[in-house]
Parts: sequence; structure tokens; C-alpha cells
Amino acid sequence: MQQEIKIEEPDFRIHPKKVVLWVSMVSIVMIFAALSSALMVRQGEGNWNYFKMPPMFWITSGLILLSSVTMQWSLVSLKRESFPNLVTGLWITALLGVAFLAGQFMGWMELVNMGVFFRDNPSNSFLYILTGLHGLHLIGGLIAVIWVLVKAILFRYRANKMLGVELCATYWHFMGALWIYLFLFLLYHYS
Amino acid sequence: MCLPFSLLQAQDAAPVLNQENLDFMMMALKGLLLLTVVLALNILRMVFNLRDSDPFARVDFNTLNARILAGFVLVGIILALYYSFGLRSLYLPESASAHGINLDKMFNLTLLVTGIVVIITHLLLVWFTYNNRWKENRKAIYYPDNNKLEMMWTIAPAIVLTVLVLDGAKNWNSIMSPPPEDAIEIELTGKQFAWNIRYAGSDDKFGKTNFRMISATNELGFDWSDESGKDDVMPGEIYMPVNRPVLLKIRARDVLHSVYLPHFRVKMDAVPGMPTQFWFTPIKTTKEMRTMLKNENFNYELACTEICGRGHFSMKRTVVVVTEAEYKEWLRKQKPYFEPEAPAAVIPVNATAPAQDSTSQDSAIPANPGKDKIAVAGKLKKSTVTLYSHN
Amino acid sequence: MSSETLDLREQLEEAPSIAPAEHAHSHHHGSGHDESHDSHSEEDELPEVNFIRKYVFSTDHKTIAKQFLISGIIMAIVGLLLSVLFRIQLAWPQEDLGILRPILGKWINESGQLDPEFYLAMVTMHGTIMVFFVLTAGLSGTFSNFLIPLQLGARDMASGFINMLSYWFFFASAVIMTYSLFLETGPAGGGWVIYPPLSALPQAISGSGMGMTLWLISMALFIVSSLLGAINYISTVLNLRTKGMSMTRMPLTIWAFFVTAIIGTLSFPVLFSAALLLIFDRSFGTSFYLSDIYIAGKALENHGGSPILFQHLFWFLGHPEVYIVLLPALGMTSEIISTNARKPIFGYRAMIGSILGIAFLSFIVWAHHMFVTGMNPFLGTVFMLLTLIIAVPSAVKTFNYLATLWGGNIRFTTAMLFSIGLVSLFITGGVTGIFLGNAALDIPLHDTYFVTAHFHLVMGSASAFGFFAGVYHWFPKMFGKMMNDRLGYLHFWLTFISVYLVFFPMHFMGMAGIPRRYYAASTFDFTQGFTNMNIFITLSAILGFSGQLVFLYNFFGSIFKGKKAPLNPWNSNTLEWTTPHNPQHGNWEGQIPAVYRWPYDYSKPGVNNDYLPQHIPDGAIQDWDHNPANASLLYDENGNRVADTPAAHH
Repeated sequence: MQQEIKIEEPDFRIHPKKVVLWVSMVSIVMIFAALSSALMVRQGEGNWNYFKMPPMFWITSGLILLSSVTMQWSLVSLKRESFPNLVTGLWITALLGVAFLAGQFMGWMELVNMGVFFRDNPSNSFLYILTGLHGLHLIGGLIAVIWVLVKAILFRYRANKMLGVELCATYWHFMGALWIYLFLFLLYHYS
Repeated sequence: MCLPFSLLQAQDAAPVLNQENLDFMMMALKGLLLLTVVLALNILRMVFNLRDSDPFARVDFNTLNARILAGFVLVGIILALYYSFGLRSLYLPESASAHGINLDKMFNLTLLVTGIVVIITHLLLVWFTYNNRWKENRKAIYYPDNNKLEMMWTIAPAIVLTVLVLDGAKNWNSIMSPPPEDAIEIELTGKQFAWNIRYAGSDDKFGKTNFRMISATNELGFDWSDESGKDDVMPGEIYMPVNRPVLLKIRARDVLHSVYLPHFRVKMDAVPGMPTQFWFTPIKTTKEMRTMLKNENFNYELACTEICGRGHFSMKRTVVVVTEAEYKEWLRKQKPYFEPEAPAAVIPVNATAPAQDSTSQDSAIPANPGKDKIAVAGKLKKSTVTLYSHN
Repeated sequence: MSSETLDLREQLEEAPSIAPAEHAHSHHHGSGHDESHDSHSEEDELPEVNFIRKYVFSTDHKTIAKQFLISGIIMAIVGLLLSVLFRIQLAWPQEDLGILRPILGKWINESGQLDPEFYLAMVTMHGTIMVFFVLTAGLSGTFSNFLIPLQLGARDMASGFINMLSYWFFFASAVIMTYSLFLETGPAGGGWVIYPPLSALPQAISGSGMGMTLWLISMALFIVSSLLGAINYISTVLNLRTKGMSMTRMPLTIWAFFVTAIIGTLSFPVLFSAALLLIFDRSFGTSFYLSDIYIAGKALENHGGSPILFQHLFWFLGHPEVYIVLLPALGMTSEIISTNARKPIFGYRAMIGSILGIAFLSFIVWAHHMFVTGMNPFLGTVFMLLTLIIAVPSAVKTFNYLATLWGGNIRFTTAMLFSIGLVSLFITGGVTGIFLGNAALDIPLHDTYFVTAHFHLVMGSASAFGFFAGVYHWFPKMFGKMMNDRLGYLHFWLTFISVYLVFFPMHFMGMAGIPRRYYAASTFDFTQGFTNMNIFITLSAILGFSGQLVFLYNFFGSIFKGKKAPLNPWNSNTLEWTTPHNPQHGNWEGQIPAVYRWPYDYSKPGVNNDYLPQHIPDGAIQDWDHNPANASLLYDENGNRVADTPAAHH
């Protein structure tokens, strides 16, 4: 019996693996939200150390923003199927990522020189933990960039097969945005 | 908490559930256990081959289950009511504090409301399932929703709960209100595994303490440079005058504890590093309570109610409520904790201390309270503080 | 084949996120494309998988579900054993417990007394294992994994690889937690809530040494496992529904699992943060939670911390956690009651609304666990108000269950009995929440047995009942066999009766003011009077424990020797019953059915049969109605029967 059967297509159009990534990012946001709240609550109780952020953090902020630019450039290059640019962009992004981590570590050294020790006061501890945790997550992103870089060198991507690079780029931008949030947050709460 | 239905039976009547009844209950339970084991073994025997053709073909399990469900729920409701009332002599007696009376009233009201809800919903549960147990040619009623009904049973609970919330908020705010000016202050410090009790002594001021000064001879870490601490008393029992507000100042020395005075409906956590407090007014003396409960050995008690380690269950102090005059008499008789002639057990001050920076001034620890002049503990700058260990 | 009939996942796999619709039309899918392997990672495209790949490191959601199920059952036995052991201490505190030495070894001293620290450790581990390993992983892990793809018409989860990782992280976590039971210094002993400073200081209780370290490591792995699972469930529910399966045609089970996953995503990371800061306080000398502590003869360095901070962070997970435990059970109950009452679930949309309401509210009530910590009284009022609001959607759900039962034609299968039992426990346990949510009433009741009674009834037992209901109901689908029904009834009655016998009297103990986590009642006068009651409770607990042996025998026995199950033994409407038995990787052979209606058309007027599966097109209803065996067949969207699948011949 033929009749007009209306079948609705499922209305949700974002690729499943992208949903997986976005939901993971929400979880990561929650970790930092929890630590941010904990910091604010603790700060409200007094006995808080105030000091300037180490100058190196400004440099690393610049580095990570730049790395997002190069990451995005890679992505756009892939869309245009300009493979040399894709690989170059990924290389630079990776190097900037490593530079960022090195810079963060140097920033910690600057903190130590300023006399800001990890366990002296929760205000100090929070600073190290927040930046450290971000760094750890960034290492994960860096591994992703290197993985994608290798696959890009092996010509595994096309303009219609971009998923890996897209996921990597999304996560990388997220790491950048997270750092900017953290840096502003720290500037606000330590000055 | 005493239920209003005790109007029918005096507070002090013999409990319905006495030893005899409990023994019977034990026996019944053992019997039930035996029956169950026998039944289970039989069934297991018969269904040993799980694929066996049905030896229970004649039994309509559907109806059987419906009947057992109905029976269990009905019997359960009856037993729950019976034992709830029957065991009431085991519950806490009438509140010995002013705010506790209101709490008990609120408890009873909530119990009434929720009890009715539980009973009615369970009766419906039984009625619906029993009446509608499977019948071969019957079709169920296709009734997928009814928004009016949903509305009703969203709004009705909301209203009931609002009433309870308002009542609760009123009581809560009253209990948590600032303590009255004339409240007697008693400081309780929880430690593993006992409570240190402190009264302020004749100057009505608690002496300064510093946890870094705690030692075997200085339980609270008194900073003896503060004179007002020298008349503080640390008795082994808590005494309170009846009908006067009492403010408990609550602290903890090592881990979380919690001050719990069940008869007074008092509870407040003791947090290391964060003093808390709770005020209330006792309205029954210990003597009055003993008379009411017909128990000459009755005593109010203080218990710990936040898990704190192996001795959590054994942190007991006795609480005594007396008349104003008796209280004053008792307080007068207490000896201050400070002992000017304590035998010298000189412990060198910086025996095991690491090097410290010159800014910290809190290095002097009284090994011998009162004997030496003690430097005032300075504000901590860095964390290089003198540590000492007494074992 | 036109592109519209293509599996949507294939389209998404190939195309970037921009305008997938265009690519769908422009793509060429020749006959060479193997449909049953879409959306899988590279490993699954291997034509043959060895034993290890198939059964151990499997990426198939059904296998992973069974792994969670078995692991959950094993952990439940451990958790239950712990509870029987410490109940023995509570019943016979003065007795010589020497007979327990074979199990407890050095924790029973020479005079036959149980070590009080180990008592606390047992209580702690019982709680941790039951809440996390049994009722979160064992419940969500099993049923979300098993049912989400099957009920939605998907071949597998969005990422089988991540799913596999989720199980193995859980496994590692469980191994570490179980191992900690056997440590020299004992497992963690600060209550399942592990409040610092007790949990931060090994000198405060021996379990806070290595035991607590392992607890933290185990939980870190567990949190990762839960998050990996949750992200998969969310993505699958959003992306991989079959044609016609709009969000409002999903079974309530899926709604429950979906919302539970969202709750988990938002709340578990906060526990992670709490644990992280605790690790730093324990091992790296920080002062997040510690300040002004003098212990074991020493004044500690830590300064500036607050134990209350931990409690806030912990309960921010802790409260949503209880709904993570409860919602899947409630979702499955909706399904099972509806199926076995042969009636649509009453108020489908209201049920969805309640689930969402409960989920949202669960995030803003956490401090009702902290009323007596010395918090700002205003906060107390706020949290009291919000807590009592959350009772409203819970009540709505209960009334909807009752309304579903009204006018039904009820089959008391074992699953149905457990679901009805859940409703009963949910009511009884839920109303005591009203006492405790009232901040003022919480003052005398907090940390007494009243609380223990409350959560064991409303969360512990109710969810356990949901777990059992799910096992009995979906066992035929999982293993192709039926569980024995009479043993099932026996199991139910033993469990239901013993649960009430164990936990109802605890209300009385709470009203007598008996505190929780007390090793013995010997110290105080006010704790006397429950000697016999404690024995009664312990005996009932032992009865309950033996009841579970019936279940174990039935469960494992039926896997091998159970009666062969028909394809759709419960005459249910949902999609999982349209697959062949023990479905292979990919679930449906051939095309995945589309759905044409919601899953609750039971006893629909105008239809002869008392059920009408989702996947029967309107045009095929007549045909199917006269021969319901055809339900195992699949139809295309024009109502034509597709070629007979092997499923038709079972």
C-alpha cells in the first residue's frame, strides 16, 4: 500500500567526532571553572598574596595567539588544498606550542625569583596549579598537532577529508582561549 | 522526638516493644529465614534444569505476585505504623531546649504529611496493580497524558512544600540568629578523641590561644602572655544554667569533628582553622529530666557526629543543666587551667627547630607555663616557623 | 539506491561540517561501500578480529556493556560483602569475631575485636564501591552502552575506540580500588566523602596513607572513564538516531541516559579538581584545605586552607552524582512499566520535563549536605528552598508511574516487579528527603541513621532495583536466553523484603539520635536501646545477601542453560527487539529500520495487538497486526516488506 510517509531526518548536523570533542571541552572548562571558583572563595577569606604576573606570561600569551593564527592558516590551506602550507603551518604551530610551554616554565622560574613559592600560601599554589594544568592540557594538544602533522606529511588529508585537522584546530584554539581567560583571570585576582 | 499521639499514653509508660516482643520478633525472623531457605532449596531443586518444562504450570504466578505485593504492602504499612509508635520510648525524649520544641513540632508535621503521602501512594500502587493484573482478553486503557492532571500534581506538592519551607526558614533563621548578649559562652574544642571544654573564668574573657603552643601541659595552646587566659577553666563536664541562653564556641584541633547534643537538638561542625558557634537555651534541668524519664542515672551527653578516626564513637562528655545558683556555685569551685607552680619539665625551646628568619617572633614556646616570660606570638610572615614535637 | 536512503552517518563521515546536505546529494555511494562499517575507527574495518579484539579490547558497544555488567556485579559482591561484615560488628560488638579472621586477618585483634579504623575503612569502601563502581559504572556503563545504539537505531557508538578506553580506564580503576582493600595500612577510611583534614593526614587515620593515595588514583581513572563514556553517549544520542527518530520519539530510557551523561560531563570534573587539590595538600605541602592543625604531637605548617572548600567542591559533584545514579534507573523503569502494563507511559513530555528539571536543579542544591558546617544562614535558606523544589519533579515522576499502572493490563515479570519495587522505594526514601532538606530539621537529623535510611532507600536500593529490572528485562537481548522467572520472583521478594527490613528501622534509630559511622554504641547512654534492633537489621541484611546468591545462580546459569528467548519476549515497541539474537557488530543485518512513531503505542485503539512497534510504517500496520511475527521483519518507508532477513527465521 503506497502512501506518503513522512520520515524526518534527524535534525542534528554536527559531525559525531566533533560533538565528542566539544563535550570534552565542556568538561575541561568545568575543571577550570571549579578551580576558579575555589580561588575566588579562598581569596574572599583574606590572607592573599598580591603580586605582578611574571613578564614572560605576556610573551607566552603572544606566542599562543600567534600559534592559533598559524593553526588556522593550516586549516584554511588544507581547504584550498595547498599542502605545503598545511605542513608548514603545522610545523610552526607545533614549534610555537613548544615555545609556549618553555616560556611558561620560564615564567615559573621568574615567579620563584620573585619569591612566590608553591606551598607558602594558597594564592601561590592556585597560580601554579592553574597554569600547570593548562600546560598539561596543552601538551595533549601538542601531541595532537604532531600527530596531524605526521599524517599531513603523509598526504592523508584532502579538502573533503579534513576531520583530523579540524578537530586539532578546534582544540588548539580552545587551549589559546583558555589561556587568555586564565591570564586575564589571574591578572584580575592577583593585582 | 515525641509524637503528638503520646497524649494517649504518658511519656513514661512501658514501651510496647519490650524484651519479650523483641525476642518473639527474633524468633519470627528466624522462622521466616528457615522457611525461605526450605522454599529456595525446593525451587532450586525443581528448576535445576533451567530449561525444564514448567512444573509450576498450575500456579498462576501473575496473580500470586499481585497478591504477595498487595499483602506485603498492606502488612508493611501496618507494621511500620505499629513499630513507629511502639518504639517511641526509644526515640529522643521531649526537647530539652527552647528551639528544639519547635523543631519537634515541625518534625511531627512533616511526618504527618509525608506519612499520609506514603500510605496513600502505596495503597494506590497496590490497588492499581492488583485490580489490573493481567487478564487475557482485556485491553489496557490508552491514556497517554492529561495536562490538567499533571498541573494538579505539580502544584499540589509545590504548595505543600512551600508551607514546609516557610516553616523551616522561620525556624532556621531563628536558630541561626545572632546570640543574645547575656549568653553564657562555653568553648568546645574537638580533638582526636575527646572534647576540651573551656569556660572564661571570672573575667568573662577567653584567653588567647595559638595552636602552635599546644603541648601535653597546654591543651589549648594558651598564650600565657595574655593575662585573661589565666583564669580560664577547663572542667571535665559541661554545666549550664537552665533558662539562660548558652553560646557554644566550637573549634577543632586536628580534623573535622561535630558537636552534637541530641537532647537539645544541637549540632554544629567543628572545623580546624574555622571557629563556628551555636547558641540555644536549655529549658530542663538534669534533675527534671531524671524525674520525667524515671531514670535516676540519666545524663545529657555530648557526642561527636563527624567521622574523625578510630575513636569517633567514643568522644563523650557529660552535660549537666542546673539552676542558676547551682551553676554559679559550680563555676566558683572550678580551678583555672593555669598552674603557676607546675613542676618544671623544661623542654629546650628550639630543640628541633630548623633555621628561621629573624622576622618571625613566635619562637618562644612555653614548656613551663607561667614560669618564663613568653614572647608574644607574632604574625606569621613566611612559613618558616619553629616546630617542636612532643610525643 | 538514492542518496536519501543512505545511512546518515556515512554522509557525515565523509563530508566536512559545512553544509553536509549538499555533499550528501553529490556523493556517489557505489555498491562497494560496506554500510555496516561506517563511523568506525580504522581498527573495525579489519575483516576478521581475533579473540582479544572481539572479547577483550572490543569496540563493540554490546560487548563493552557486558564487560561493565560483569564488572559491576563483581564489585557489587565486594561492596555487599563489606556491608555484611560491618553489620556483623554492629550486631555483635561485644562478641569475639574470631571466625572472621580468615577474611579479615590482622584486622581482628587477639581478643576478637574488629579494629575500629578498619570498621571505618569498610564503611568508606562500601560507599565508594557501591556509589561509583556499581551504581554509576555498573548501571550507566552497562545500559547506556547496550541500549543507546540499539534503541536509537545506530550501528554503534559515535566512537567505539573511546568507548573501549572508557571500559579499560574503569577496569584499571576498579583493580586499584580493590587492591587497596588489602593494604597493610588499610584502605581509605574517611567515609566515602573523604573530607579533609582526616583524608589528608595519614597520622589521623591509617587509611589516609597509601589507602587514600590509591583511592585518589583510582577515582582519577574512574572520572576519566565516566567522562569518556558520557561524551560518547551524548554524541551518539545527538548524531546517530535513525531516520524518523526525533528527540521526542526517543524512549525515555535514552532521555534518562542522555541527561545523565550531561550531568556527568559537568559535575565529574569538579570532583577531579577537588581531588587534585587534595593530592597537593597530601603530598606537596599546600594548604588548600588545611589550616591550624595540631596532630600527633606536631603543629602542622599548613596555613590558610579551609576544609569547607573541599566540601563545596565535593558536593558540587556529590549531589548531581546521586541523580547520575538514579536517573538511568528511573528511565528504565518508565520503559519496563509501560511495556509490562501494556499502556503508554503517562505524561511522556512531563517525564522529559521532570528529567530536565531534576538535572538542572541537581546542580544548585549541593550545600544541603553542609547545613551544619557553619555556613552563612542565608545560604542555608536558599539551598533549603532549592532542595525542596527538586522534590516537585520527583513527585511528578512518581505520580506518572502510578497513572501508568492505572487501567493497565499488568504482567508481573521479574523486571516489572523490580520496577514497581523501585517506585515504592523511591516514594518511601524520597519523602525523608523532605525532612533532611529542611535546614532546621537537618540540625538534629544530620549524620544520624535517618540520613542512612534516606539515601539507602531512595538512591541505593531504588537504583539497585533499576539495575536488576534492566538485567531481567534485557537479558534476552544480551544473551539470547531467558532468565528463569521463578527464581527471579524469589530473588525479588527476598531482596524487596530485606531492603525494607534493613533500612526502615534505621529511621527509628535516627529519631533516637544515633549517629552514623559509629563503630559501637557502647559509649553513650542515649545510644543504648537498639541492641536487638541492630541484630535484627544484620540478620535481615544477611537474608538480603543470600537473596543475591539466587540472582547470581540465575544470571550465570541462564547465560549457558537458559531457555532460548523469542526475538521479542516482552512484545515491546522499541527498536532493540528488531535485531537478531546476539546481534553482531553493526546490530542490524542490512538496513537499519526507520521509525514512524513514539515507542509507547501499547493497547492503541484501532490496533488489534496490544503493542505497535516503532518501526512498522503506517501502511504496514494492517499486515503486521494480523501477523505480529512479522515484527521481526523490516519494512522500507513505503510500507513494503524488505527481503527476509535472517532475523525472520529465528
